[in-house]
Order: sequence, then structure tokens, then C-alpha cells
Amino acid sequence: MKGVVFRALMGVVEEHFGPVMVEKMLDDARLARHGAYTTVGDYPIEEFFALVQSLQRVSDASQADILRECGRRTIAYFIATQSKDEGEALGLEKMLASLQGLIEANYVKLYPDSVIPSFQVRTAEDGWVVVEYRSPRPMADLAEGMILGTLDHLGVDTQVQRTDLPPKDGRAAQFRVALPDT
Amino acid sequence: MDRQELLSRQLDREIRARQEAERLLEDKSNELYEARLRAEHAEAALSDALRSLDDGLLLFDPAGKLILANRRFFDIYPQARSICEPGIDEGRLWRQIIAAGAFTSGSRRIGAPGDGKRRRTDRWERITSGGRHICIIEHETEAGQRISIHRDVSDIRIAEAQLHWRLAAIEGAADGISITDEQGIYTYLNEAHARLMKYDSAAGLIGRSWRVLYDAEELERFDREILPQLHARGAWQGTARAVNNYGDTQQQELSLNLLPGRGILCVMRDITEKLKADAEQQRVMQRLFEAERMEAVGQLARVVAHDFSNVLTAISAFVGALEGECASGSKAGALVGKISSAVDHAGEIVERLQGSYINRKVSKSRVDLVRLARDTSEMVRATLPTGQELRLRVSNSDISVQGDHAQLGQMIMNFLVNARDALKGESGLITVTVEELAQRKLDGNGWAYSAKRGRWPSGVDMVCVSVEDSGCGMDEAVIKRAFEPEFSTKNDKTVRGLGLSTAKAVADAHRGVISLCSTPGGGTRAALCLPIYRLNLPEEARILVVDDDPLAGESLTLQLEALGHRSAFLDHPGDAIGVLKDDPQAWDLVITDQQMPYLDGTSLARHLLELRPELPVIICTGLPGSVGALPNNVTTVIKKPVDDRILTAALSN
Repeated sequence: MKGVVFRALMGVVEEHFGPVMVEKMLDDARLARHGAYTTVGDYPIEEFFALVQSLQRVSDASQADILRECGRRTIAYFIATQSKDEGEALGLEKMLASLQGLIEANYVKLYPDSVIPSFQVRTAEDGWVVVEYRSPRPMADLAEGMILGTLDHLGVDTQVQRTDLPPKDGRAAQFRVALPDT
Repeated sequence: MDRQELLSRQLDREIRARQEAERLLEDKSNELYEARLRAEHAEAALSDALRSLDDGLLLFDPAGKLILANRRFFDIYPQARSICEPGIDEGRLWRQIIAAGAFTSGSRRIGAPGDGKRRRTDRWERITSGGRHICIIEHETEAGQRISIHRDVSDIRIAEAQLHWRLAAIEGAADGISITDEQGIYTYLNEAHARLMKYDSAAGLIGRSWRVLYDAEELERFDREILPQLHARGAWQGTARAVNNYGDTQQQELSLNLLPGRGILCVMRDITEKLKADAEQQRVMQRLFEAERMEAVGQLARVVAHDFSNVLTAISAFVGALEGECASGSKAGALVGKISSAVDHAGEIVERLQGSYINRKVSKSRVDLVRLARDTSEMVRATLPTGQELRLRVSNSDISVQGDHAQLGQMIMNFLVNARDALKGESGLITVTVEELAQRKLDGNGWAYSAKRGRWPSGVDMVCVSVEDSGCGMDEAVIKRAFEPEFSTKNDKTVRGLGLSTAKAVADAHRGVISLCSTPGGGTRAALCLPIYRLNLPEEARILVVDDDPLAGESLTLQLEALGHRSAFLDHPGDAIGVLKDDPQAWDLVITDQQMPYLDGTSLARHLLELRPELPVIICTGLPGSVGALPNNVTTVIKKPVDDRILTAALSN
């Protein structure tokens, strides 16, 4: 898993629970790296979940909320590293459709063999944008955070409906996003 | 945890993270460096590959700007060397290459779609100014780059053209050409093969076995003899008998070659007609051989006849002397007369032998049939045994025809000999009749069977010489076949070999009619009817003599005047034609020499026939037998030098 997500986790914990909670989480997790993550690094996903579980032990934060916030931060980072023209030229639908490209651009360029999640985007007959997420890792909450982060970036306040897809273990989910005028 | 410790831990994490980031970046940098080296290596390899390509290659970026051109491209388009700069626009590049004369004048895209639209992959051909056929393949990559490949396909096109010509030659060949697969199924036939086998097209045999073209007997020969040899030697040549689509038998000349896949290449020629032609040629050669043999025999006969003629001359001279010594009406005189007749007949035989050659022309002159029949009968009478009687019923006056004296005499002789043989040595009667005859008398009334050949001419008086016997007679089968050329009864002792086909030929040559009537056990009558010849000259006839020899011409003129006629002599046949043109009625008769330098006698006669058809012409020649076909106005051919007796006879016709 990419270091940008670990950095997002650290940022979320520090922002919402304060820097002491970060230290507590790290102490509880007892990881060899002890929180030294870089955005260009690649770390085991088990280490990420160890941190999240430690956070739960030392605080009342829910895993889903943490992952959603991580998603928001991650996508914000990706958008920030994009060229300005590309980001502004896209509307909501196309921005969601570019999620796959954003992830590929940030992961695959450094780690060509990376296994990355899939975001299939289409417009349903009712005019809603449908984003179907699939991944070998149970990170649907993170994906939801990415979608919400995209909406944040565009300044769009709209409804997002989530349906977990079988086997409902966080590896597949469908998100329906209402366009602002619907 | 105080603030200082917190900051310290945060700083420590940040330092370690940055150190890791630096390490990662260094690792990535190294990877990138290695990747660049690999890329450079790959680029060099790619450049080598492009240079070694047999095809010219251009690569354009998605904006249509030239990225690269390989060396082979410049081999194909030498004009492009100074034009192909990287970054040049594709359209501008080609405009400049074309303007530099890369292609032949008027060269157009061959095989390109006519809509002018550009497709993901395009292919067409053009001919360069160097005469090379270039196949151009353009392909757009996923990334939008455009690759333009220029392949020299001249050798392929030449090979295709040669193949096309060869196929055209095969299709146009008169011989049948076919290919079968290893199962013997036709996979290819040219149209000639189908046509020779009487199929509408090759499609009628494609997919079928070659065995359908042969009958069971011939197939057995194929399996037993031909195919084993073909498989053993790889080829076989010979003849075979096929059955065409109409069911007709066809003789073929075959050349079979075994193909690598065990199929068979067959070249076939229909030799049915050729075999017939060969057989006909064989028959012609046989006839020629016979003719040459007969010519050799004829030459030998003429040599013998020449010597024998000298002996006859001496006998004739002595007989003439004896005639003078014998008293008129004495028995000795009569015997000498018979000797004289026999000598005359012998002379005719000698003359015939001298003139014998293949397809000898009929030598026509006036022939007194009464005298000829009488003389011939007298000769045969001497050969008859006791109990056989020969009666002669002839007119007291001459009845003449225009014909070959020897042939007519020989024919009467044959009639008489046949009649004698029909009596089979027993008592019997032979009757020889010469008489002017009406057509109805030739009918077979009173006879069991009859046959007749020849057409009775209208408005012409006819004389008939017939020989009738009281012998065994002939049955209907023999009568019907008597005039067939090859028919002979010589092997059958009970019937006679008549030689009537020869008699018919003589009759035809004399415009006569031949008739045969018979009753088994009741006798036979053979008759020949010929047109009676009458010249009917006035007592003081006007006779024009034409001879390139003045001495002979003047001599003949004197002879004619001595006989009471008026005569004039011309030494050039052209003058004679001119005289007759001036006044066709000025002369009653023309006597001409045959051998003249500008125009021979028969040709002159033909000219005169056109000027005045009824004007009679007599031809004089030292070699009567050598005169060819005579025009109708020639009444007789007389032998030079012309004595008074012959001349009088010729004029008294």
C-alpha cells in the first residue's frame, strides 16, 4: 500500500485527535517503522490496518470514518499534484471517471507491478453517476472517501448512495452520485 | 508526554521518512538510469533493425510530424534524402517527394479506396520513376502514431505476371492439361482438356475421378501397367483409349508426371484424327508405291515393246510384199490378210505397251467398231474348241466412234473371252453384234437379271457392240456387284471374273453406256454402247493447217489439196486464233500440230472452242499417247508423219 495513504492516516489522526493521539497509536501498534512514512514509499497493508486497530483501541474512532477521511485526504493530495489545467477542466462526472487514472498515475509510475483498485464509472438512466469499485483489498470506505473528496474539491454538495456488493466484505461497492441539478 | 518530547518524536519520524524517501528516490533514480540505458540500447537495436529492414519505413507522430525514416526508404526514393527532415509535416513531405519526380508521370494509387478517406490501415501501390512497384502500407498505432511502410514488390509483380502468362498459356494450350490429387480427383483442368473430352467446361470434371474417362478394359491396363510404371519412374508417356462425354472412343497421347503430393500432372492430346490421317497417309504411300512399281513395269514394257516393234516392222514389210504376190481372192491372199490383221493388232499392243503408264490418258481417234469387232472376233474364233460357234452380226457399212482403238479392242476381246469361258468348254453359241441401237434395246427384257452403268446422251446416235453367250449365266448377286472395282470371282471356279469395272471405266472415258444381262443357266449378254462419230465435211472443205514446222505444215497442205480440199498454212497458233476471230466461219476444219513453242495443239483447240464450238479440230503428233485430256471439238489425234491413208480416214469420219 502506498505511503500516501499512511501519510493521510497520520494526518487524519493528528487533525481529529491531536498529535498525542498519533503517538499513542504508534506506541500501541509497536511497529518497527514507528510512523516514519513517506508518500513515495510502499508499505504492507497489514501495517495500515494495525495502525487503524491501535487507533480504535486508544480512541473511540470508527474504522469506516477513519478510512473515509483517509480517502478524502488521499484524493486531495492526488488532485494537488496534478497540473492545474487538468483538474479544473473536468466536471463532476468526468472527475469521477478520472479517479482510475489518478490512482494509476500516482501508483503505477513508481511501482509498475502495483495492484490497484478499479473504478468503473457510468451514467445511469436516471441521470445519476454510478461508480463501481472493486479491489483485492477491503477498502470500500477509503474509496467512498475518495469520491467524497472529489466532491469536496469541486465544491459540490450532493447525495451519495452506497451499496456494498457481494460478498459485502469491503472489496466491492457501488456508489450512486446525484448530479447537482437532479 | 510533554511538548518537547512530542516534537522530538515527530521530528525523528520526519527525518526517517525523508531519509527513506531519499533512499527510495535514489533507488528510483538508479532504476530510471538503468531503464534509460535499456531504452538507449533498445533504440540502437531498433535503429539497426530499421536499417536492416527490406522495407522503407516512415514514422509520424500523432500530429503528422515525421519522427524517423530508415535508410531503405531513401534507397526506394532517392529524391527524399534532402526532404526527410524530422518534424516535417507528412503532407508537405509527400508533396515535395512527388514534385521531385519520385513516381512515374501519371502514376496513381493502385488498389487504394476511391473515397480518399484515411483509415486505420491503408494499403495501395505506386510505380516509381525507376519502374519499381512499391506497395505502401500505412498503419495508425493505438497512440495515434502513423507508420508508413514502403515495400518493393516488383519481383512479386513480375512473378505474378509470369505466372499469369503461364496460366494463360496453359489455358490457351491446344493440349489438355490437368492435375489430380493423390486420390485421383481432378483439382484442375484447362478448358482444352474439358473440350477435348466433350465437356462444356472444366467444372464438369473438377471434383471427379479421372477414371470416369476410361472404360473397364483400359482402367485394367492403367492399374496393371501404366500406374505402376508411373509410380516407379515418376513419369509415363504413351497412348490410351478414353471415352468422352458423348460416349465416343477417343485415342489419346498421354504424358503423366507424378507430383510431390502423389497427385498426377497430365498432358493429353487427342490423336484420333491424327491416327486416321496416318492411316490415310499409309494408304496414299501404298498407292504411290504401287504407282511407282507400275511405272517401273511400264518402263520395262516400253523397252521390250520398242525392240519388238522393230521386229514387227520387218514382219509388216514382208507381209506387205507377200500381199503383192498373192492373187486377189486366193486362199493365200486371205491368209496373208489375216496375218496382216494380226500384225496390226500386235502393233496396237506394242503401241499400248509403249504408252503404258499409270492413269494413261485415252488416245482418241476414229475407230470403226464394225471392223474392230470383226477382227477381234476372228482372233478369238481360232481359239474356240469344236462344238462352239461364233456368229458375227455386223453392218456392212462402217460405224465409227471416237475413241481409243486399243482400249476398245481389248474390251471386246475381254467380252469374247468371258463368253468363251462361260461355255466351260462345252458346246454353245457366241454371238457378236454391232448395230445402231435405240435405248430400249438395252433394257433387260427377256433376261432374269440386268445391270447398266452410264448415262444415255440425248440427241446422239449410238452404236452398240454386244457379245452374247449361251453359257451358264450369272446369279443376281454377281450381276449386282459386277461393276464394283474390287469385285472379282476369280477364286470361285463356278463363276467368271469379268473385269467389268475396267470395262465401265472405258465406257465412261468414251461417254458410253455399259450393260450386263444374264439368266442363270440361260446365258449372258455384255454390251457397250458408244456415240457414233460423224465429221460431215463438205467435198471441198476449207482446212487450216497450224504447225510451227513450215516443212511439215506445207507438206500437209499439199496432201490436203491433193485430196481435193482447199488449205492454208500458219506457223504460229496465235495467228490461227486471230484468223478465226476475224471470221469464225471461214474454215471447216483445223489441223494443228501438238508440240508448238507458244501454245500446244490442245490449248489452241480450247481457244477455238470458245470462238466457234462446232469447228472440228484434228491434232497431229509424233506421240499420240502423250496427248492429255482433249476438248470436245477435237475429233481425232493422228500420228505424224501423216500418210494419205490416215489422213483420208481422219477426214472421212
